[in-house]
Amino acid sequence: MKVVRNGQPVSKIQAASGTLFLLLFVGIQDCGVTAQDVVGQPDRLTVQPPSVELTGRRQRVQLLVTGHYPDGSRRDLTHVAALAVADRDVVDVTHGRVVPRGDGSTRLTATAAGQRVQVPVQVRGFGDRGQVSFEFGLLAALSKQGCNSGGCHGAPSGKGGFRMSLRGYDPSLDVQTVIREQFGRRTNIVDPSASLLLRKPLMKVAHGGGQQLQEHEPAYELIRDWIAGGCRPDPPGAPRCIKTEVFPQDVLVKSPAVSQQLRVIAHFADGTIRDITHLAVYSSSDETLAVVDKRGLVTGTAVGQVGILVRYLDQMQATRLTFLENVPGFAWNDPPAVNEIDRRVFARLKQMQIVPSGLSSDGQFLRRVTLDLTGLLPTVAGIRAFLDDKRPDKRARVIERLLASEDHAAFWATRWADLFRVTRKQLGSTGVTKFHRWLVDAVRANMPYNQFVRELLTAQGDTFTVPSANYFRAAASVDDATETTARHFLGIRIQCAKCHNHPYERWTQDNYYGIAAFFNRVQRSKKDKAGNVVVWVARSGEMTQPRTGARANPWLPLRGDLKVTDVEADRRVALVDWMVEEDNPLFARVEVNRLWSYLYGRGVIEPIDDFRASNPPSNPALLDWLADEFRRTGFDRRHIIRLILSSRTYQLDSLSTEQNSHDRQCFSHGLARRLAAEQILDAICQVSEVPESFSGLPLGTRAGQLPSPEAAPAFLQVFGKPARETSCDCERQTGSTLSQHLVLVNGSLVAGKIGHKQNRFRRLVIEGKNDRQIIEDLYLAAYCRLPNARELQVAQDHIQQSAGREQGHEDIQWAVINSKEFLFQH
Amino acid sequence: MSVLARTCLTIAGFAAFFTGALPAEVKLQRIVPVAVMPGRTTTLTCTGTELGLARTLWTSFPAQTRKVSGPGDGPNQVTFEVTLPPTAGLGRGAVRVVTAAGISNVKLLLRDDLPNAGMTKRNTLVVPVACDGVVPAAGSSQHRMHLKAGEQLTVDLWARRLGSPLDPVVRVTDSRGRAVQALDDTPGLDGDVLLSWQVSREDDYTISVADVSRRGGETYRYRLRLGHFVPLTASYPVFVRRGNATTVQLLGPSPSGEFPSVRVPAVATSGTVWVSGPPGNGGGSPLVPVRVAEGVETIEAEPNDDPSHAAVLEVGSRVSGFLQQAGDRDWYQLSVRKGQRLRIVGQTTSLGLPGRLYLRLCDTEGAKLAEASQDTTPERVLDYTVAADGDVRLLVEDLARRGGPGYAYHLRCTLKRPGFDLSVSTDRLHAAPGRTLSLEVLAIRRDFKGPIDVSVHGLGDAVKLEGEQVPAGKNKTTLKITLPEKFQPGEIRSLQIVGSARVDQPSEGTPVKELQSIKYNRGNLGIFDGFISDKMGGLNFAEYEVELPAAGDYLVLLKYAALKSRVAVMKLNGKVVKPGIMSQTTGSWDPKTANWFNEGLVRFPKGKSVLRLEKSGVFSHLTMIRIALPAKTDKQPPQLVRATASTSPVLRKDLAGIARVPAELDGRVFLSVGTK
Repeated sequence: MKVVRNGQPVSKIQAASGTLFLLLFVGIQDCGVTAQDVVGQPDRLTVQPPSVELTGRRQRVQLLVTGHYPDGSRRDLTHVAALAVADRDVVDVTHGRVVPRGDGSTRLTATAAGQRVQVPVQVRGFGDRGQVSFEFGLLAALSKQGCNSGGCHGAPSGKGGFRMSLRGYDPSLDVQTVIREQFGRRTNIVDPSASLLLRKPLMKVAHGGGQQLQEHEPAYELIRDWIAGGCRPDPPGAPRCIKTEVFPQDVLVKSPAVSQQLRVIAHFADGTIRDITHLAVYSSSDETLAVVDKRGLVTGTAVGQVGILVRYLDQMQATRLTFLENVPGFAWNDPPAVNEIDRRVFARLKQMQIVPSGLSSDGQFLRRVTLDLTGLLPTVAGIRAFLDDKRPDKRARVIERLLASEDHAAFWATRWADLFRVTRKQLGSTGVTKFHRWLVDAVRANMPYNQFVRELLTAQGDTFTVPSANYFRAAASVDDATETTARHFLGIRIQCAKCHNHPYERWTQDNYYGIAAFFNRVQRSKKDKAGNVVVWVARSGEMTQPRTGARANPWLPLRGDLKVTDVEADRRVALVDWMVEEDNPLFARVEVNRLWSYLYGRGVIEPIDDFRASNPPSNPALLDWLADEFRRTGFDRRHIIRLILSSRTYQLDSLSTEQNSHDRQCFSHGLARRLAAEQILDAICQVSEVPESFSGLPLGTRAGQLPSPEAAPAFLQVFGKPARETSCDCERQTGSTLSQHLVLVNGSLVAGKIGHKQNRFRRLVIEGKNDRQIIEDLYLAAYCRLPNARELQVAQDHIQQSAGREQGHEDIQWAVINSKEFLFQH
Repeated sequence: MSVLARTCLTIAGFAAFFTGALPAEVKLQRIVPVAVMPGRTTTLTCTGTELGLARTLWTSFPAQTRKVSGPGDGPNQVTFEVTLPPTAGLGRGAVRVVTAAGISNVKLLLRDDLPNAGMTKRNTLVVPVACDGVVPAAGSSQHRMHLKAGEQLTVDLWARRLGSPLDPVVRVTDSRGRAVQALDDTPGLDGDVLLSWQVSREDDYTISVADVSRRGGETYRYRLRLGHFVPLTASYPVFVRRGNATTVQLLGPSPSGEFPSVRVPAVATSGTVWVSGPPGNGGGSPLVPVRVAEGVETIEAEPNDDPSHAAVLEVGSRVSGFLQQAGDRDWYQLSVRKGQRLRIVGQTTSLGLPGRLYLRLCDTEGAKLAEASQDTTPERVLDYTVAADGDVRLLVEDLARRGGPGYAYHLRCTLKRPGFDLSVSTDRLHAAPGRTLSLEVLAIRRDFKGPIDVSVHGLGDAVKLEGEQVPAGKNKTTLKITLPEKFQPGEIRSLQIVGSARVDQPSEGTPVKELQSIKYNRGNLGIFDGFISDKMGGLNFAEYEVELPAAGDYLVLLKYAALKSRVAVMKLNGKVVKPGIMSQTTGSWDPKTANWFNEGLVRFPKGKSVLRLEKSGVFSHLTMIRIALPAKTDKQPPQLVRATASTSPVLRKDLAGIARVPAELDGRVFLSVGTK
């Protein structure tokens, strides 16, 4: 009987099992946490699967031993429970993995803290070596060892003269290269273990990729047996893997537990189900929170939530794990919830034992919400009025006022314009004007989002009279339209699948061309003298999958092939119909996540255009509710924005506390972030009262109203205003650079505003205001608050000590513009 | 007359002697207001340059005009009173200021039945009313009004249609600043706005007018018409026949689906006649242009929703049709003869109608022969050279398969024939009696190289002309007009420059050479199964050595298949002889669909020549080349083709690049007779 050692410190257990087990778990300061601590006192144990049947000598089954506790919680005890086998001639068990040893029946017993559970085990056909499947055996084994990854032989040109399809997406290519290429020199049927396919990764001959395989690993046996079986490709009609499942799903791992074993099974077309835990490839969405080893053991390293992607050739599944710790002295402060957003955010915070910050001040709120909705600072008069307003609903009132403002429409249209690459280069001068105006109108009118997307994606006509057709002018090819649409409206980064199956998601190359088939018929006329273009949809034309040469039918993600009844119909309509359906899991979520990220500085899912199972939301309940509410209200963006802005969560102070300073996921406090390029320039203009002029645009135009980046001065580029070369939010740079500091400290733009003869402080001087009044006005304009006594004293002292009053005020204005409080939204 | 004025006139006349054109400084920049009202006298203030010698105001409509003294009048401003009879028709009109130094450029205005509220800023308007406005740069102009619940308000904003550079965007907000309506362009109105909606709540509303590019300034003017009339933009039938009184239905973005009928009186000339729909409650009518054309206008016969019920469409006919609901398809059937070059033109937006047509020509088995191109021109044009005698079918539907009330269209089915168009470099001339004017006449030829005779109508027989022919093969002549001494100073004459030519198209006679395209002597075009086409980018070419027994004009015919037009160049012995060959399509790239196309006459020398076909990039699928003598006699005698020179380029420039030059103004050149 083999017993997993119990009662040992966890670190020793992990060290002994040879796994990567990091004891960096925040909060578990005491590295002496023992297995006994992890086991605790469960009510009962369960084992999954409840019985084990093994057919053939290469099959494995991964057990999951789970402890059930009086408080309803569960813990994975697979690696700390004692696992004993009655007859080791039938099976052996290591790290919860059952390995056949011979035909027969036996019983396996799992024991922990006095609880025990038995699992019947049966092994058949041990003596039958059988034929190893080329695709689901050999390629799966090579994938497991990383041989066909993008950095190795899966690179487009391969490595060392050996090229494989990336992660086995093209088995027909791999048949050529593994079996037939180089006259079959990579395999040796007579002496399989002498095959290069084994000797290279074992480093028995020189291998640029180093040692990637060990003889005790399951992959070795699979590769060897496939070679011994005659190096045969799979026969036509061999059952294919149709889906995989990962257990458990949505797991809460709470200290003292720090790990969770996964179990993966595959369903084949012939109805068979196999445990593939040992062949699946695992990756963590955030290795700063959790790591996963080759056996599927996930170990938390910090508090938070991760997604674990489980890949078996072209099948992808993911599971979500949340790691929690008990925070010493944690006491929930039970902040009042304004709406359902707060209830869901606070529930998550409470679960994570994070206490939210307090409510933001009026000035902080006004500055934040005005910048978020209009890209501008509030006016001094507006600030004073707001601060003096005693009405309890004054925050709601200002939200409504700003949402209805022209500035809001212009500023939020800029976000779309960034994504849709509204540039003169792409759309021509009039195209830019028309499309930008259409976007502004859409925001202003709060066009329902489903209608907005429908008008964009099904647009036909000349781009001057149908401005939304400019979408297909910027997305000027089938590939571009496919990738842009998938990214913005479905949160899918599908571009990888153009050349090969997506490495981190379930999307295949067939899927890519299936989506592309919706846009294949979109035509664009030549540009006329005025720069106008006609976008239209041809009545015929089919997409071809370039690898297979087969016709690619229109394919809807998560739904399948589109049933085409009218061969001449505009297929884009069907795509949009599916997008806006009630049960579409992506469309509404992607947009509410985008709105959340614009207002909070971080999405519930990050990056906001990368929705995948392995990139889970930090608060699924919040995202689900927002999406439901979005659908329920007819895709009313303004309603969602209003809900978010009205929530206490949005209005929390950006000053973190000792208890929540580490939180980046759960929205326990406002996130300070640098102002966007346009916000900074407009803010400087507002604070100085000196407007900026832009080439080719009427005086009075603000940076946040620029229809295209060509008119943008270098200042905006330094601060990361996107050139709109790519259709990605990520093109906007939000970080800080040395150039930015130099531009602010020494640049002519700031100097020009400060030295301008009709700027704010000079106006106030002319109006007879004293230094204190001028400084207070400046602080209100820049920070939405009055200076404190010390700040006021320092400023006044400086003015008095300066060569002249104007010189002193110029210095103060310069200092304010260069301060973090001015340059950041908080 | 002062010495100074005389000097100015002398200088003006001297300049006109050399240039033939009006001195540029006689310029009308704006008129205020931009509307006159039937039964009333309206004071028009005209601003521009060199208007101090103004004598009268020319109008394109019946009106009494009188120069009056207005505040600020001087060299750059003149004031007129314009009186329209009570029965005067409504619609768009044009004016020019006539001065002793010449006649000004044209400006457009409305004959409007809405009372003019004058220029407003934030004054409250009482509907129905109309007012003029100016949009400031980076801003908007605003008009306030109080509306009651249930009131149906129509906003009819004229800017581009009046030659203003303003590309208007209209937004209506309630007293809380919430947008109630917003519109950039109404289909068919050249960028202007016509919208109508029922007010749901009694409130103060504001109409904001801005430029789509946020531009503005003194020239960014508009007229805003507010009333309770039905918004209408076009008529059905789309065209009426010249000389016939016709009842038409008026169409437009009517939210109620109400499309009233009106009687259009017989109109003597082709072009546009304006009609007004039923006035709304309290006054104010929709103003609709009705197109007048020669020939019978037929109405689409339903049902024709499938090929088996295709309606008959004859070559040379004009049809007004309707797409009755979304997804509606109209089928037509034509009997055609081999070699005919069909041109089918479909119109919607160019006639003030919504939608964009999709036209497809099929054979009787349903196989596609040709599609109309989808480009930025306002009309959809389908060209097809008929391969064999028989029937073909035309499918008409909306590109986005829209349809419903208002989705009318117009079809014109013609044969492409050789011919030409003319244009002139100015629409205003000024000279003293006995003086000579110069006028540049430009020709755009269509498969015709012969001489074009140019004449001037409207000056009588005493006028002397020089340069009254555009020579064969040339595209320009400078027409010199010497005015008779008997012309009276101050006289205004309206001229038309008319070109005429005998046009024929030689038909194929005896073949001299026939070459297989794939057997070229030199070239880089790809050789495929019986045809040549491109196999690479860059300049593709094929050269054939041709030896002819005698010099002379030979017809060159090419046999090719093309789904899309791939226009190539023909060279003979290194010189371009045909710059636009292989422009036709056959419905497919399949060489089985290849047709012979007559590319016209080419003058060959005796003996060996090198015939070269070349094109950058893609190339039609060329199978055969034939060189033939033209037929000695043609069944059809040469046809006399006439064309009046267009003034559209000049008018468009004067009207801020207006999308569609008013047809009623085109082709008129004004001559003002100065003093000696």
